Amino acid sequence: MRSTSVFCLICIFLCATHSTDAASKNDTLFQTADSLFEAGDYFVASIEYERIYYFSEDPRYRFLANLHKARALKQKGEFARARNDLQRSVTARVEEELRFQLFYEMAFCAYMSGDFSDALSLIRQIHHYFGNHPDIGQIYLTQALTYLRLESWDELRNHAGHWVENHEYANEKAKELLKALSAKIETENIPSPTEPKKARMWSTFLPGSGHLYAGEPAWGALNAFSQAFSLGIAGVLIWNGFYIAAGTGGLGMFQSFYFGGIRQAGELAERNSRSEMEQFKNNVAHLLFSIENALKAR
Amino acid sequence: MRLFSILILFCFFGLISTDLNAGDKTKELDFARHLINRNELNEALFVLETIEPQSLSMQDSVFHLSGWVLYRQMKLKPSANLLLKVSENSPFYLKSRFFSAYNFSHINQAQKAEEILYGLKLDAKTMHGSMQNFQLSGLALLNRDFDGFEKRAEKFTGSFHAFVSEEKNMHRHYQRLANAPNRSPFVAGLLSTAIPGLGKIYAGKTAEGVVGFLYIAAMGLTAFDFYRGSGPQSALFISTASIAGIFYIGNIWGSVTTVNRQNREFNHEINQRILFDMHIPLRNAFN
Repeated sequence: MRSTSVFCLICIFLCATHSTDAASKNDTLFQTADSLFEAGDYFVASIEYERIYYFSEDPRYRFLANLHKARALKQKGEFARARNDLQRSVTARVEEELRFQLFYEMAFCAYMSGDFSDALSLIRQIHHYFGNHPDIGQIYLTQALTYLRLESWDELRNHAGHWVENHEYANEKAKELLKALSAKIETENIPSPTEPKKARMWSTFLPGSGHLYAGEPAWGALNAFSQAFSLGIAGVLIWNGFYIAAGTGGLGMFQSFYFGGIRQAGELAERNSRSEMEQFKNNVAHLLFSIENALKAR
Repeated sequence: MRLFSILILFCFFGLISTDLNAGDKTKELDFARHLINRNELNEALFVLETIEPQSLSMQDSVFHLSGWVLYRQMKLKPSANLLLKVSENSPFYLKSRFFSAYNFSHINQAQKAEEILYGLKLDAKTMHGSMQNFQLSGLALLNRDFDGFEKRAEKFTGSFHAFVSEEKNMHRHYQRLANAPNRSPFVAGLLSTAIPGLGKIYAGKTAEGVVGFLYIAAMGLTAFDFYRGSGPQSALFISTASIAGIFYIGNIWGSVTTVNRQNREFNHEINQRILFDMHIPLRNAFN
């Protein structure tokens, strides 16, 4: 009887040691990974976090490891991968605070990886699940930037107003910036896209006009001059009796400039339209960051 | 009795802890596999490099997995060399040998690939034996050894699902190679000398040939027009005739290079198809 008790006690002792070992092992692994992260070795840190995720049986440790791994991947600029990895923890049962962080990181990574529709969907989920979270304001800038990238101007206007006016540290500077933003994204100030098809159409009937429509008057003038010049050469050659040369040289050159001009007008319209809108968005983004800074400055 | 129980228990846990190190290494291998499955190949390679194998089987696993990761990253030469290190007793031996040979085939080292495949002692009636024969037939085609291919093709069984359609494809590749037109750059040059652009049409680039002809004809006609109107001494004639001459010679040279380019493109395309058909059975059989 006594020996059985001793046997049981030893078993309990060793089992307890082993279970506390697991927790302390996880802590040690976390410390190692965190120190690698702090040292800037994000590649190895991400492996160590993944190791914890893989080996740990504690859902909370797995969740934290996944979250930390995403942060390491963010530092490496691998936002799409971080977004995908975070998805693994969506169904984990952890406290609301951690779940909020998870969704915030997912939305941010989706935005940074250029998947703006996904980012917006996640932001809406954050509002739905964590509408009363004290740190909900963290998401406002990402939300505004997402609207901007999706060119949802009305939503951006409404959201920015809500963001600044309901902020506990809303100040005059932020309100002024909000006004500037609202003015900037008025419909008439948003660059209207130049259509390549229209540019090509203009150039078909009036050489150089498609370039003008695309915002490239110098290229338009050069193209119109080239066409006129090649026609002039053809005329001079015909005048001097060089009919074949007029056809092959003069008119051959003319058709190159004519059709080349039509194609170039379309390409310029497309390129300029894209770069103008990109420039506009960057200016608006700059304003949004200024609002964020003004609100942080209190 | 009590002391004896305690002693037994401590010995038992002592044994467990001495085995823990080997167990940790096995876990590391599992972790590396997990990373490979997640397509985190650089990370998997990093983990594999840190493992110090404590047994031959573990060493084989490390070589096999590292070779596999490098293969997935298309780093075929280091992959082939690592896969070759897997020992004969390993369960991954056959897979490693076949993939190593395939990797060497892909980097134009067909001879090395053949050596590896010939080194495998396999029963021709088994699937792996037939696979060996099939891979060697592919290598024969890559080497344009048609006799070698025919001998190998006679042994195609058509009975293994993993590569039954690839055996048929290999026959098709053989037919295409055997019937490929043997175009000569010299003939292409001669044809373009006679009629500009004809050499390119002979090379299989009809559109290029027609466009080339039209350009040179237009330039020739322009030069003729100036010759007719201003005489042979006129600057207009001399300049347009010179340009036409340059284009004419360029067209001849272009025809010669087009034939070479066409031959190169044809060989490259068919080699890629052969390699593809060598690859599919490996994936079917070993995955």
